[in-house]
Amino acid sequence: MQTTTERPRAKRPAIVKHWREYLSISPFFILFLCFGIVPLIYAIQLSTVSWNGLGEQEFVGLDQFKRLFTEGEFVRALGNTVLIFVLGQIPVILGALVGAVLLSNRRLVGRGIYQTLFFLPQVTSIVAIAVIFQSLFSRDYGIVNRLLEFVGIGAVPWLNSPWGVRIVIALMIIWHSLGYFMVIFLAGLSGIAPELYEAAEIDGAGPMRRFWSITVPLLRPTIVFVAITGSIGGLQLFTQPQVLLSGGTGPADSGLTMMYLQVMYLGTGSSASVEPDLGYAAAIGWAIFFVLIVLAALNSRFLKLNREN
Amino acid sequence: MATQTATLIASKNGKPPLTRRVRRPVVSHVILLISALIYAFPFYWLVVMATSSTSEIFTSPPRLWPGLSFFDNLGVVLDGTPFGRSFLNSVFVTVVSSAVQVFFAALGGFVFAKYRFPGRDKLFAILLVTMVLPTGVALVPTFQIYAELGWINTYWPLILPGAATAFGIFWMRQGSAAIPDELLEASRVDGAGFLRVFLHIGVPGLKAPIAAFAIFQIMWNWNEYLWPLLVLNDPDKATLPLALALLRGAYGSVDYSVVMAGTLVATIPLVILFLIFRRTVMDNAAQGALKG
Repeated sequence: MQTTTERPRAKRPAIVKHWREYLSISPFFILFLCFGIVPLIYAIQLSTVSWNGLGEQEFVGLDQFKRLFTEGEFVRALGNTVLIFVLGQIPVILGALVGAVLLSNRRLVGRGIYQTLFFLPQVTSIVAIAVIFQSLFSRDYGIVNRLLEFVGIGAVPWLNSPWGVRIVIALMIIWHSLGYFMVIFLAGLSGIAPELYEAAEIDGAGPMRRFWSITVPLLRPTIVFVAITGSIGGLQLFTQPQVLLSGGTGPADSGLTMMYLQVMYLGTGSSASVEPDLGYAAAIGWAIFFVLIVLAALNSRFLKLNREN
Repeated sequence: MATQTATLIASKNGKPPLTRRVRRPVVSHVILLISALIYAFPFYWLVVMATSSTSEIFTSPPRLWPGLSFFDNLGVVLDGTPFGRSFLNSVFVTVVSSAVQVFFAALGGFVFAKYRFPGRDKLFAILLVTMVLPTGVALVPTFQIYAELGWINTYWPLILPGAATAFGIFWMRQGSAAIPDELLEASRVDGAGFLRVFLHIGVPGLKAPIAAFAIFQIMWNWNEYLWPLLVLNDPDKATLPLALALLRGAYGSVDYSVVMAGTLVATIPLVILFLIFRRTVMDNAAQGALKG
C-alpha cells in the first residue's frame, strides 16, 4: 500500500503528510509498548532476583525458575489449574453443543427465552457468582446439602474437601460460560446445509448417527476454537478460587491455581501468609506466558488450516 | 438432535407432518426445561436470600420463596459499608473507560479501513499479532510500573492501559468496510477536515459496531476484579466487585442475607442492560468470536 510519489510536492516525509492518520492509530501502539512490551522486558530482569518489594534486590540467576519445579507449590498449582480446567471444560463444551443443537430448531417454542437464560450468567460478575456458589454449597446451611440430606444422600463437605472445592469451581465455570459457547455453536450450526441432514435421513441415519457423523465433524473448527478460547481463559483462573475460598487456598491447596500463586507472591490479594517474592512471582508469570504462547500458536495454526480448507 | 429432523422437514415443505410437529420437540423441551430450571436456580436463590432475614435463611426446613426483608438488608449494607460509594465508583470507572475505549477503537478502526498511508498494512498486521500475545500475565512488572507512576489507589490503571485495544480497532475496521468511500469523498469535497469526516461520516456509519462494542466493554469494565484488587487498597476507592468481596469478608459469618442483598444490587444493572440489548449482545458475541 505504498503511496507512489507522482508529484514532487509529495516528497514530504510520510509522517508529516499523514500525521493525522498516524496520530489516530498511535494510542494503541504507545499503550501496548508501555503496558505490554515494557513489563515483559522488566519481567526478564525481575525473574533473576529475589526481592520482597521493599528492601534490596538480590541477584539469584536462574534459581527462581528452578524453584518452579523443586518446590511443590507451582507443580500443585499447575496440576490444580489443569484438573479444574478439565472438570469444567469438557462438560461445558458437550453441554453447549447439545444445547445448541436443541435450540437450532427455529420453530422451538421459547427458544429466545432459553437462549437468554443460558446467557445470563455470562453478564454476572465472577465475584457475585462465587459468593452465590459459596452459599449454595456451604456445609451446614447450603441448599445443595439440605437437598442431598432430604433425598437421603447426606451432606457432602463441598468446600472442606479437595475434590469438593475443585468440583464447585468447575461448576462455576460451567454455569458462567455455557451460554456463551452455546451462542457460538449456534452460529456454527447455522452454516451447515440442511440438505446434508436430509440426505442422511433418507439413507436411514438416526438422530444420534446424524449428530456424530454430520454435526460434530462439520462443527469441528468451532469446537476446537471454543476449546482453545476456553483454555486461554481457564489457565488464567484466579477470581473463582480467590473469592470462593475467601482469600485462602482451600484444603490441601486444592484451589491454588497458577495465577493465584503469582498474586500471592506479589504480596496482595490473599490471606495466605507467604513472604512476598516478586522475583518468584515474575518467574510464575513467565511460566503462564509460555503455556499460553503454545496455545496461541496452536490456535493460529489451526485457524490457518481452516482457512486453507 | 430430534429437532434437526423437524427443522429439515419444515424447510422442505413448509409445514412439518403433524406427528413430528407434535411429538419430536417434547424430548427437547424436557431436556431444556430441566436444564433451564437448574440454570435459573442460583439467580432465584440469590433473590430468596437477599429478601430474607438471616434467621429465615437458617430455618429448617429452609423457606423456598422470597421474603420481605430486602430493604432492611440493603439498609445494613449502605449504613455499615461504603457500598453506595463503591456503586458510584463503578459507574464512574465503567463509563469513563468504556467511552475512551470506544472512541479510540472507532477512530483507529476507521483510519485503518478508510485511509491509505505508508506502513498501514504492516502496522495492522502487528496489531493482529498482539491480540494473541498473552501480555496480561506479567502482573509483577506491570504492578511495579503502576506503583512507580504513583497510580496505586487511583483509577488510572483501570482506565489508561486498556484505553485502546487491538480487538476494538479490529472490530471497528471490519465495521468501517460497510461505509461507502463516496460518502467520504463527498464530505471532503464539501470541505470537511479529517476530524469532521470521522465525526460526521465515520461515527454514524459505525453506529451498530459501536453499540455492540460499547455494551461488551461496559460488561467487562463493570465486572473487572483482578486489577482493582491489586491496586485499590482504600475501601473508599473500591469498585463493586471489590466491595462485594469486602462485604462478604465483613458480614459473611454474621449476616448472610446482607451479603446477598449487596450481591443482588451489584448484579442487577448488567442484567437489565443485557435484557434490553439481548439481541445485539448475543448476535455479536458469536460474530466477534468467530472473526477474532
